[in-house]
Amino acid sequence: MKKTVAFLLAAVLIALPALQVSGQDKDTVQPLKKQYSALGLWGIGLKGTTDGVGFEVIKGFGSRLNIRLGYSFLKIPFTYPIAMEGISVTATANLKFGGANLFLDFYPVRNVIHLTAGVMQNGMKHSVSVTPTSEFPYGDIMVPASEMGTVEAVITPKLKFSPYVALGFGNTLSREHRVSFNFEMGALYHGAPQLDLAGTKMLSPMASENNEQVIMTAIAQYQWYPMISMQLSFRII
Amino acid sequence: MKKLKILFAFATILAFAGPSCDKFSLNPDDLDITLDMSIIKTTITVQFLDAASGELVGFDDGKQVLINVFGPDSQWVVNTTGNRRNQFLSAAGYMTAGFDPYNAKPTPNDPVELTLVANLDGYVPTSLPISLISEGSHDFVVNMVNVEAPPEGVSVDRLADVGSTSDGRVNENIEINTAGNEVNIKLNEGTEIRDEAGQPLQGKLDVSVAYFNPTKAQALSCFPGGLSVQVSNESGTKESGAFFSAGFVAVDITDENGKQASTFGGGNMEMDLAVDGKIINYETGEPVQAGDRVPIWSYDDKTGEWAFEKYTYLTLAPDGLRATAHMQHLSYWNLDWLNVACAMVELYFTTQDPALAQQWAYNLWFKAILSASEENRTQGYFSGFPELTGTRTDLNTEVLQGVPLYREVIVSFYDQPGTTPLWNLPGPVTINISGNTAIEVPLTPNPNATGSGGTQTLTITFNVTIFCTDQGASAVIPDGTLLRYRKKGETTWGTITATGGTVTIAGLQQNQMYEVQALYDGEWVPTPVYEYFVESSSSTVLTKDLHFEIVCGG
Repeated sequence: MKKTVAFLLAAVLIALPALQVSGQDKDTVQPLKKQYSALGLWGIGLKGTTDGVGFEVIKGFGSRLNIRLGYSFLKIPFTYPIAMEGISVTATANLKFGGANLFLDFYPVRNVIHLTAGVMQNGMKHSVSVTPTSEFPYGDIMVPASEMGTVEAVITPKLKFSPYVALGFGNTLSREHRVSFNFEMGALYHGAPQLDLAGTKMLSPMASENNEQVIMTAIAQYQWYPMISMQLSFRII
Repeated sequence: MKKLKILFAFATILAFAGPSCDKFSLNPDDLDITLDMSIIKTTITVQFLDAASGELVGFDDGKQVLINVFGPDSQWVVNTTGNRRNQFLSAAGYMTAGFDPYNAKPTPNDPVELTLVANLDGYVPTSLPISLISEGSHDFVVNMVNVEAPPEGVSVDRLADVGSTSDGRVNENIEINTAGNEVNIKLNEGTEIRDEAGQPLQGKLDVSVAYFNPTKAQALSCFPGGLSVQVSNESGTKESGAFFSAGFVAVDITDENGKQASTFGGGNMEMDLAVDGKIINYETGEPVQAGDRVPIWSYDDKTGEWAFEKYTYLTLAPDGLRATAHMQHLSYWNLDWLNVACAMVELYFTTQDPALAQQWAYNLWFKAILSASEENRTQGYFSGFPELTGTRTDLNTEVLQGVPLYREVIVSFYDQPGTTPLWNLPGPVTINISGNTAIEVPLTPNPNATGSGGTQTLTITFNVTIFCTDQGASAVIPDGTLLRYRKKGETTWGTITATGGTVTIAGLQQNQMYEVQALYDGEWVPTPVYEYFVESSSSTVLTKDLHFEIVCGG
């Protein structure tokens, strides 16, 4: 975790001198045709991302910086039946994405490519609930499916506030036009996913601490969440 | 150039940001695929004791009691693996069974009822009627009479070649007397004897006669079927109550092919038995005397029900009082007054210690006697978890059946020799009730089990799981499963019943190896025994896991 934060800071530190340098580079930066006051240059955006759909409020600073405050949300519920040896179960999944974000865009090369860093309040929460749907034979006793219970796995990010970095194309707030389009590729760092297992009735022992640890070890490598984002922004003032 | 560096830095970060390049590796073998197999909510554990010695029948010598199950709910009886059984064999004196929870859930309004009939060569056949009104584990004791070494008050005579039959008809008058003249039986020439299937007995006849004198506590304790009874009364109506016995006899007649006599035709069997003058006539409250009327009952060992047969009147003979009757069929014959004013008494074991209430089971033997006569009314075993004082969840209700109203019954408790009880033995409880009244029995933790008694032994709660090697699956040990344990090298086993997937054992010595087995489907498993080393610990009360590997079958 510390290494990651240090790495992100390093990236930002690298970016800061570049900001100063690029500010002096007249060849590669379009001079603003319009002038905005310090309180001006506001916009709103609608976005669709791999972390949900949402909106953003955007504030521009000069020709190279934007700050974005936004929120996105996505919930994907689905159910699928699984037939296993001797027993049928239904898995009900609920994938929840989104959260609030605070991003900083920096445009080192003209106004079409930007680097973004920021933090996101990570509301990601995925759950899968497995419920038997057929009787379970225990000797001559037929255990009704309703008596077998449920086992539920809930995966949440380790970091509730996740650092975010991205490379973007287009502009999140055009200085020249009312409407602008932005495409961004990046990643959200949430650390090793946290798993919480819970079981009831017959299935309750499946939610053991050991099983939690085994699965968490297997998924511990998935510490980054890939983000692809498309956004349509409207400059208000 | 500097901008390229910045882009490279970001590209590097993005490279990290993609999904991991490591191969996803989850070995399913590392997962605990364990199910909680506490499916069976109601279990019975029956201990078969030698009435004279008090030892478990077959504990050391491999003898197995054959138990046949009869009664309205017998079809729902299952073994540990959930398979329906109407026949069981005891293992080391124990038999465990359960009930299909979805078809036989005992409640006060709909009790689960059945009768166990126990047979073992060399022992008087006996039976145990069972009526359950609550879920949980229920423990019973059956005292069996070894014909070679009967308990005090029981005489058993086995007489060979007492006569013969041809095509089922007795060839000559037969008269049989037991050695102490407690029982005299006469079969007239020409009487036809048939077995239960209607087949005539053929050839030489052997007779076995067991006489129970009800003034002797040991004899009463092995009274077949117990003294809390279901009867079909004089008018044929079914009712329950308690017997107050004037005498009991079990007669068994077999031919040379092993056919067992059941009915008599063209004549009958005259039975004359002694009645101890010290017996109190239940109706008069006075010692029995000539002319007293006593009901005679016969026993159906398939239903556990006694049926009224007739009245007999006591006569005075030179050697004491006698009761005589003519019988058309063979059975257990019982001279008894029936007290129908009986109640089921619920007992709640309670504690003020919430931390231990759900963790430490009580395992208490009990004996109930009539205080005036010191008659042994019933004995058995209570096991379960105590409830917090003042709460009655009805989950762990213990029931004393057939407690006579307006009579003082004293229930005393004792524990298994050689084991350290988790709870102090409660004092005797006196019950004198006029209706269904719940009795609360407070329990306090045994200081030797809590570690405050100065002992160096440990009290360990084991979370027990069974891994079925043939099925490749694990299960939490089912409720009611009996485990036995002993320090390696010792001969005496302690026993304990699993409840809620756990057992708690006190008195375990540190740095000692223990042997553990579970009674599973009529056998002690695993074999060879599971060995568990009790490590030294600075804490005297702790929790451990116990993991058996056995072949589950089924």
